[in-house]
Amino acid sequence: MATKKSKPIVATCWLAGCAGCHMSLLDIDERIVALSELVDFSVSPITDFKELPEVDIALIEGAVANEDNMEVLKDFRKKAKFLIAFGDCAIFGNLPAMRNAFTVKECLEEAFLDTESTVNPNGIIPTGEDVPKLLPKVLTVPQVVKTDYNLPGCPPDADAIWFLLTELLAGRVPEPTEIPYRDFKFD
Amino acid sequence: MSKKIEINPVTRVEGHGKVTIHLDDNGAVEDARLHIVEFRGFEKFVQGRPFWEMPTLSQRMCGICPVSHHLAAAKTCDALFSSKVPAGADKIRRMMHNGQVLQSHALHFFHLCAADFLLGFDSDPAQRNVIGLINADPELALKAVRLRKFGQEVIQFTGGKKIHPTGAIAGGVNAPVTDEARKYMRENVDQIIQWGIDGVEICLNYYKENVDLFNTFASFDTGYMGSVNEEGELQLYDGKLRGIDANGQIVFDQLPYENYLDEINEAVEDWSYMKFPFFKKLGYPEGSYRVGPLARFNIADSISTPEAGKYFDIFKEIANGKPVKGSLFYHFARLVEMLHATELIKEGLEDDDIQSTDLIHKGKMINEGVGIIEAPRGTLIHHYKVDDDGLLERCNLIVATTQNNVGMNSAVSTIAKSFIQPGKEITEGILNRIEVGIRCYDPCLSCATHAVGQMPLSVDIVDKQGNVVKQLVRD
Amino acid sequence: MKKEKITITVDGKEVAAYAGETILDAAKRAGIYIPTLCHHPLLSNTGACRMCVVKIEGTGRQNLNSSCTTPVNDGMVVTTESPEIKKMRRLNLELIFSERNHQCPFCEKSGNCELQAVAYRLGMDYVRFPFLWPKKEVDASHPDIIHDANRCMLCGRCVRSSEEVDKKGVFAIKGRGIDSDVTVNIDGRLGDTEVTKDDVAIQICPTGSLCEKGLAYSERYGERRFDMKPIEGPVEPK
Repeated sequence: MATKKSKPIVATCWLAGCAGCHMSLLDIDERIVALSELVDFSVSPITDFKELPEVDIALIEGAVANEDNMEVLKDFRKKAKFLIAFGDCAIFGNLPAMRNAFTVKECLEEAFLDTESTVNPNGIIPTGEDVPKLLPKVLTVPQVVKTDYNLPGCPPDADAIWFLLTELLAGRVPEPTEIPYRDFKFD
Repeated sequence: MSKKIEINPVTRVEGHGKVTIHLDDNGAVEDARLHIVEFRGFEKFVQGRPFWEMPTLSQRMCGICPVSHHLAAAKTCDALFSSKVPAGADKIRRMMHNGQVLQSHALHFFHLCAADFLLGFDSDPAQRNVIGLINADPELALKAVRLRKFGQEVIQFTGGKKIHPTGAIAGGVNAPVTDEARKYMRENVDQIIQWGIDGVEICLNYYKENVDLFNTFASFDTGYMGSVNEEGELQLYDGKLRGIDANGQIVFDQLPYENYLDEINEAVEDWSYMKFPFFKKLGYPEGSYRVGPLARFNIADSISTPEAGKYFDIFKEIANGKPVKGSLFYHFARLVEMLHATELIKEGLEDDDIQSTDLIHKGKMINEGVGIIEAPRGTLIHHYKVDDDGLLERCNLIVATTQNNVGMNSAVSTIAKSFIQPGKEITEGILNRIEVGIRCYDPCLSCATHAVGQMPLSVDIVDKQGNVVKQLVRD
Repeated sequence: MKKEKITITVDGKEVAAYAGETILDAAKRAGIYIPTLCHHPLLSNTGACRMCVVKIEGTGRQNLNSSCTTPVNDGMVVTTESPEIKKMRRLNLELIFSERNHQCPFCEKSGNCELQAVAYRLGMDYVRFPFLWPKKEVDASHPDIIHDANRCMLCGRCVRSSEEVDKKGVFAIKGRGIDSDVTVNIDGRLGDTEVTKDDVAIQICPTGSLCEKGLAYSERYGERRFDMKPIEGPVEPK
C-alpha cells in the first residue's frame, strides 16, 4: 500500500443527460493541464463496460432512462471507490424525467407517429433489438445505487467541480454547504 | 452464412449509439447502420407547458450546443408573440450565437479531432484526445483551450451563463452587454481571430498533404441544406432555407423558415430512435440530405467576413462548381466557420447597440410559430402550436444531427465497404476509420465524453445464430 | 396595551421576548435565522411546512415543535440548530421536493424561489425519496398570472393572503393528504376570478407555482435574488 505511486483514476459516464455537465468539466479551462497531472483519466472506459477498471472517482452524469443506463450505472458502482452523482439529471431527474408524467407509449407515439413532419405510413415505432428498452419511469442515480457524493447544478459550475475534485484529491470530503454558495446551485 | 458486425463507437459506457455492419453470405458488406439509442419523449412532455419556458427548457436536450436550442426556441417565441425584436437584442443574440459556434467548433476540432490530424489516424487511441494533445503539443493545446474558453465567455457575457444560459427570452434578451465585458472581449478578440486562422491553416495543410484521402474518404452523394440571405451569402443566425441536390441543382431556395414543412419530411426506421429527414420533392431515401458546415459551404455563394472569405474561396476552387462530397471536408468548413464567427464577434463588439437597454418587444400572441437557426452542426428547427392561453399543444423539433442521420449512415457504410472485402481479414484499422467518419459530423450524441477521453471501439462479428465468431477490441 | 416582556434562551443566548409572540419572531428579532416556507410575517401561521422546527427544553416536550406556531414562555430554553433538527428539516424539505415536479433548471422562479433558496441554505444535495412525478394542471387563463400546480408545495400562503390581506378569498385547498391541491372556485380558472397580479397572494408564492406573466427569466443569471446571497427570510410583496 505504502509504495503505491500511481495517480488516482477518474472515470466519467453519461447516462440520460445532455453532456452539459461534461462540458462544464471542460470549463475548468487551463486547469485541465493541472488536473491531467493529478489524475489519470479513464473517461468512457471501454466498449464492453464489463471491462471497466477499478477506479478511484467516478462522475455519473444523467438520469437512468433505459436498460443500458441501468446496467452501466451498476457496473460503475461496483468498480468505483467514490461515486458522484454529477448534475441535476443524475440527482433530481430534470428534463429526462419529465416523461414520467406520461407513459412510454404516449411519448413514442408522439415522436414517431404524430409530429407534423413525420411521414410514417406503416406506423413504425423503433423497438428493434438494436435499441435498448426504455424503463417505464426514469430514475435518479441515488434511487438506483448508493452515491458517495451528489453535486447538483444544470450543469454544476466549473468552479464547484474543480473545488470538489481538488478537495477529494487532498483526501477531504466537503459538506455541500462548504461548496462556495454561488457555486452550489440547482440551475 | 450471413454475419452481423456490431460496433459500439460511442462506447457502451455512454450507450448513446452503436453501429452494426451486416455482411452477406460472401462476406461482403450488405448494409451498415448507426443506431441511435437515446430517446427523451420531448415532443410529448412539453405539452401543456407555457411556451415561454422553451428557451430554457429545450436547451437541456443538448449541453454541447445549448445556445442553439436556446435561440431557436427564443425565435419561435418571438413568432408566437409577433415580436419585432429590437436591434440591440438581435445583435446580442447574434453575438451569443457566434460565441456558441466558436466554442462548439473549437471543441470539436481541437479537443476531438486535432489529435487525428496531428498524431495520425492510427496513433495510440489512448493519446488521441485533448490530454494526448497537451502532451504532444502543449502550445497548441492551450490555444485550443483558450479559443473555446473565449467562446464560452462570449456566451456568458451575452446570456449570463456559459452552459444553459438564460439571456434570450421571448421577444428579446434580458440584459445588455456590460462595459467591462465589452472591454475584455475587445482586448482579446484579435488574438482569438489569429488563433482561428492558425486552426484553418492546420487543416488546410493537412488537406494539401492528403488530397486523395479528402476526396475519397466517406465520399458519397446526398442533397445539402442551409441558410442564406437574398444574395446567397451564408447565414448562421437568420436567413432563408436553400436546398440543393447531389449535383448542386437547386431543390428550393429562399424558403421562409415558417414554410419548412413544404419541403421537408421525416421517415422512421425500426432500428433507430433517430428519424430520417428528406426533401419532400425527391422522396425517401433519394431525397436524403446533409446539413452543417460542409452543407452550408456547398449551398452558399459567399461568406461575409474577410479572413473567412479567403478560405471560402479556396473551398469553392476545390469544389469547382459541384458540391463537395467528402466527409473530411466538414472539418475544413467547420474551422472556416469558426474563424467567421470570431470575425463576426469583433464586428459586433464595435456596435453600440449591444449595450442598448431597449431589449424586448412583444406584440399580439398568436397560436403557431416556427424558429430556425443554423446550429454548429446544422439547421435546427423548432415549431410550436399553442392554445389561446399560451400553453403548448404541439411541438415539433428537427435537430441538426438528425438531418445528418443518413450522412453518418452513408459514411459508415462507405467506409465499411472499402475496408471489408470478401476473403480479407477484418483488421482493427476499420475501427479508426469508422470513428473518423462519424466524427466528421460532430454528432452531439458522441462528442461530449470523448472530449477528454478516448473513443474505444469493438467489433463483434456475429453469425446468423447470434454467436460471436470474432471480436476486435481496441482499448 | 403594553406587551409583557419576558426572557427566553435561544441557542444558549438570552433573548428578550414579548409574551404571546412566537419563538420564530423572537429569534428573528435576535438575528437568529430559522428556515421557513409556509410562514409569512403578513399572514397567520399554520405550521404546515415544518421547516422551522426547533427543540424546546425542559418542558417535557420530546418532539420538535414548529417555531412559527409555538408561543414563548418566560424562561423557555430553545435550540434552533442541532444534528437532530437539521435532519428533520432536511427530511421535510426532501418530502416537499419529491411530491411535486420541482425541477429548477427551467423554472421561471429559479434564482428568486424561496423553496430553492432554503434548499441551498440547508445544503440539500439530493432527495432520498422516490419522486412522484404527478401530472398537474397549468392554468394560464389569467392575462397576467400563471398558476402551475406542478410547482406548488401546498404551503397555503396564497390561500391565507387572499383571505386575510387581499380580502378576496380566491384560493382554497381541495382534496386530502397527498392529493390536495390549491384551487379557485372549486376547479375554476384564475381568469374568471378577481385576482390581480398585484395581489399579495401572487407576490409571495414561495415557489414557481404562482408567477406574474411576462417576468419569466427577465433578470440576468447571477443577478437574481438568491444567486449570490443566501436567503434570510420570506420575500416581501412589491
